Amino acid sequence: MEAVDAQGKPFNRGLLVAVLLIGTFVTVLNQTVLATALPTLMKSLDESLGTVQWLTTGFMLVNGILIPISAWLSHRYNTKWLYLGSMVIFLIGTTISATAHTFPQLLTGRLIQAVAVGVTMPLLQVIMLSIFPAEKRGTAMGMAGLVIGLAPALGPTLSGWIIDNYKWQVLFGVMIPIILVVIIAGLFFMKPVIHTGKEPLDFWSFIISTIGFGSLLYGFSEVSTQGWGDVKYVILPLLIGVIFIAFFIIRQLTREKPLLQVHVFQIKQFALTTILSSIVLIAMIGAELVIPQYLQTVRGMSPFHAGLTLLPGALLIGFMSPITGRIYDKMGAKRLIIAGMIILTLGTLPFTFLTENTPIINVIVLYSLRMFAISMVMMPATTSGMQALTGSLVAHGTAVNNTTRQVASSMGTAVMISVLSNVIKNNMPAKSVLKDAPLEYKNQALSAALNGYHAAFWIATGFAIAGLIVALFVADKPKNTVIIEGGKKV
Amino acid sequence: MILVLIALFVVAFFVSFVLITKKSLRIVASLVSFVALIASLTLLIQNDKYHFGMRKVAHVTTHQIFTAVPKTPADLLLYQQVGKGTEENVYIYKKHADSKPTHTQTDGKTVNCVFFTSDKQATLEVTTIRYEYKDTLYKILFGLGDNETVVSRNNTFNLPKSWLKISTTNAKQLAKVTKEMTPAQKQAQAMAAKEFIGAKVKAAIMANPALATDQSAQANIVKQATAEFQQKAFADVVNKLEK
Repeated sequence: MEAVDAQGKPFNRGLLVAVLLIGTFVTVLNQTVLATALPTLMKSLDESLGTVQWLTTGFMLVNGILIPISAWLSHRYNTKWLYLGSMVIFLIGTTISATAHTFPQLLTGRLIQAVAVGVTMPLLQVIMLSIFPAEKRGTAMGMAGLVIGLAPALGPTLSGWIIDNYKWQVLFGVMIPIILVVIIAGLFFMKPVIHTGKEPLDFWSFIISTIGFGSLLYGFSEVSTQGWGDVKYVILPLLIGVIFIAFFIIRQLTREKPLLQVHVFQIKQFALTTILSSIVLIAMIGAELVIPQYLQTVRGMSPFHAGLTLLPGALLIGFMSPITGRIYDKMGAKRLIIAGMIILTLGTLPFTFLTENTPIINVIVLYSLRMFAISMVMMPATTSGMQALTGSLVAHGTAVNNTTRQVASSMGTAVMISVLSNVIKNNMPAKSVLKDAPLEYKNQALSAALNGYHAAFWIATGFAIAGLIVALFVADKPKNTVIIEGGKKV
Repeated sequence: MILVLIALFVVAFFVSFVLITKKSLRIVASLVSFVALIASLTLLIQNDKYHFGMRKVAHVTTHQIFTAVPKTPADLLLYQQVGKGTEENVYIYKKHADSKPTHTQTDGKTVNCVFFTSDKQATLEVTTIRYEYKDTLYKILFGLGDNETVVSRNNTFNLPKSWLKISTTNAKQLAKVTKEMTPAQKQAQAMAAKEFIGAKVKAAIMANPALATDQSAQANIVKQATAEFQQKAFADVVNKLEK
């Protein structure tokens, strides 16, 4: 079957997918690329940790604000120019970052980058769903999963390696040639594959959504430093966020042509799978956050070596994602997802028994086990939720799904980190011990840290079990499967 | 091996639960691989957390040690107080006369004790208790992630009576004390030395009158007595500082 774009012209699907995957991979990499670089940046830019953290927090906020309007963007603008435009914006942001020697310039570059990433990530999924026939969607989304799962997991290792060997500017510098190639190739191979119309932007929805998601995500991100009880930086932003998001949802439900079709949540299969993929994302990000901390504080590893320890698992999810996608196309979602959640639960439990001498190879194998499980759930669940949607709802479904996941992952991170630091704090030995017997203090502090990691992984196990229960309600193949071509119902 | 088994059982569970279409076969194969997976994970945790398949083995090694501070009248065993409590000390010594100083472990699993004995040589006896695999079966099963860890360590220093124990802070004081002696103190010490040596020589001649005319034998006694006095004076200073 020949693939045709929205204007009915045939196009080379393989090359389009290649351009799309490589370009999006580089952009998504930037979500985590600074994770291990912050100490270096503090030193190089002579700024405090709190200031430097804006390079990741600000990025995440802009990213989160853009995702809800990505659905509107993808139906308003020609896919080819939307994608290439995002890549050009990304190129500008990356160049500014790569040439930065001051904090304001770097932050500017990062925020510009974040605008592009907020568009490319959902756009990747919408395009993949639009250019493949329904029976190949699992495979298509599996390829998207290769980017969405692998790139964030690869970021910390890559940056650790570059920072150990080169200047931090190189982090961004190496991306520039790749982006240039993607842009040039995109001029030839990218096609307008999604149907577009001249729908005006609902300005108020945009403002409300920006305030709502912006302050909600900000509130969650401050939990790790301020704790849940802080009114000014946590409770107030969360409250404002919830209120504005409620306004946003009401406005979307009552308007004839909303910015975001939030009523997709009324479709059971979509709602279930969105919850599932959110839970799995929390499970994934939580472990990516806690295990490196364990490796660094208890085992004394460098950030780079901690990243290397997680690398096999990251590569495994990249390797497995297209395979589980293909299996989804053949066997349906239900058994795949249930098996994945069972393995995820079993792979998380051993982490609640971590000791200060746990062989590193055990950590590598168990982490890979979890990633294997996550590859069985994340993209198949998303695809199965999308199969329940028709026509133009695909882009809206993707945007809703991505927004939910973004909120869930920042909430999950906040919960995990606050539990971790609270348990560690409560188990810390008295300061007098440090004075009288520092070696004993070290032992007690280590066991306090271990208690914290155990608690965090009990939470993760709880999430996995909750996900398993949700998975039992997922349908094998949604009833109202529709064939969509070029974003239009056939 | 257990890790390989876990990986195999995961793949087996995945294949049987997801890919087998025949229902009866699927249920049986999934159940078997699920139980096998749980069992192997349990073994892994049991080994890591509760040392399943391991036993405690004590290893004792003894070797000679040397003073960390050369060219002092008496050999010194230095120690550094880590905490305000006196329990946690780190001892500093040399493994060979010409090697760099080493120190006892700071892992919080180590207990040090010092004994003064009638031995001629200073020795360090290290008793290490480690977890080791019970037999080759367990070594094959869990050996991939080497889990043979130290449980506790006991360092026993057996020192000749001529050795002295001094903390690092006091060792620094020591140099200062000798340097900052007032002329009067120096004179007093010289006098004491002369008295001590004189007494020694006198005692020797009393015991053996033949020595009275033997100049070289007398010189020998003076030399011995000088060394003895220096050691005694040094020990006095050290003991005073250590109080």
